[in-house]
Amino acid sequence: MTNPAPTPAAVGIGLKASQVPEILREGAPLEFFEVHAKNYMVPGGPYLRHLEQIRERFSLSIHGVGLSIDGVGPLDARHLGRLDALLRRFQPQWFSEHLAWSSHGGAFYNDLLPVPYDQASLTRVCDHVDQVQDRLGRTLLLENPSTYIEFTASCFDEGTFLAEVVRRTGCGLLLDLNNAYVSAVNHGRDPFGSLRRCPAGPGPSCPGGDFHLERIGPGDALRRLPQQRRRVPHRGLGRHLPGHP
Amino acid sequence: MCLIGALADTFPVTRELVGAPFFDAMARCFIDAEPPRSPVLTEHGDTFPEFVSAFPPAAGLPYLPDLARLELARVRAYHAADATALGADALAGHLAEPVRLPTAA
Repeated sequence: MTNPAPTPAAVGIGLKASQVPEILREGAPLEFFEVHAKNYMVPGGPYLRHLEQIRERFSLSIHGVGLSIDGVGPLDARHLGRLDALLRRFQPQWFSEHLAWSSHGGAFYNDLLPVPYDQASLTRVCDHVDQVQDRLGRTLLLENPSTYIEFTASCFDEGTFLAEVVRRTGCGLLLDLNNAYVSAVNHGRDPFGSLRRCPAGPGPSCPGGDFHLERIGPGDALRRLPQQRRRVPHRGLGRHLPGHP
Repeated sequence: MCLIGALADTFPVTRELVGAPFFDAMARCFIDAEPPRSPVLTEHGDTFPEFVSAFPPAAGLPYLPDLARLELARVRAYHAADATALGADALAGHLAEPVRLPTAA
């Protein structure tokens, strides 16, 4: 299995198709761009050509929203196959997916739906993360969701649940600060308390894990995190407001 | 992006022609009848023209399904596998004998 190398601080933004010509012409003071996997699951054409040109100069973070990691049914083998082909072709530095479900009974809902944090869900998520990492031969970064409801069935808080998934599977965490904030506000909790329960990165509690921060605003949120949680300030410029998955 | 928005991206002229309220309502009926089977949303529109052709409120616009087919073909062509373009000489050769031009698949 290929683990992403422990990275020093790296900064990147989401790639917009309309910006590609300017980036290629003038460069950008960034280490990487993030793209959504499903936008590039096409046979050919300009999207793939532009991404190849970007990849020649920058690292990539490929973000998936369609695996339905906590779906009750089996993972979509066809989708996994397409992900595998995409990752092999573009060799991104990171690959991430959401802790959520979006498919059921063969239908895809195009939404990141919340899961109860109970034992059954933990076992299912860990099984699916194991399958994804085995199939793709690389470490998955799991992203914390923004949630609007909670389940009475939950017996873990989100940070504890994520930490346990990381511990059992060796996956990494993509910590979306905006999502953590939205969830904390929705559920009437202190966002910084929630963050402190998230796994902190490689260590006895998180073997082989990698840790990424998403959507860091211009304010001082980052400085208020404990020191060891700042390792990879990541993905954030101009994307700290709600409105994207 | 919402599912209606994804369909609107694929079929902008169809939407313009019938107006946003009609298109969005028709898209909603389509999504209810045929939810996406794949996370790759560009594939969701594949059966939309057939749905439009059987959608009673659109029966007064018999050309609408063909317009939707044309828009779908444009998106398909945009994302199609890359092929080597014909050179000018080869193209001229084909055009000299148009009766032998291959028909589209």
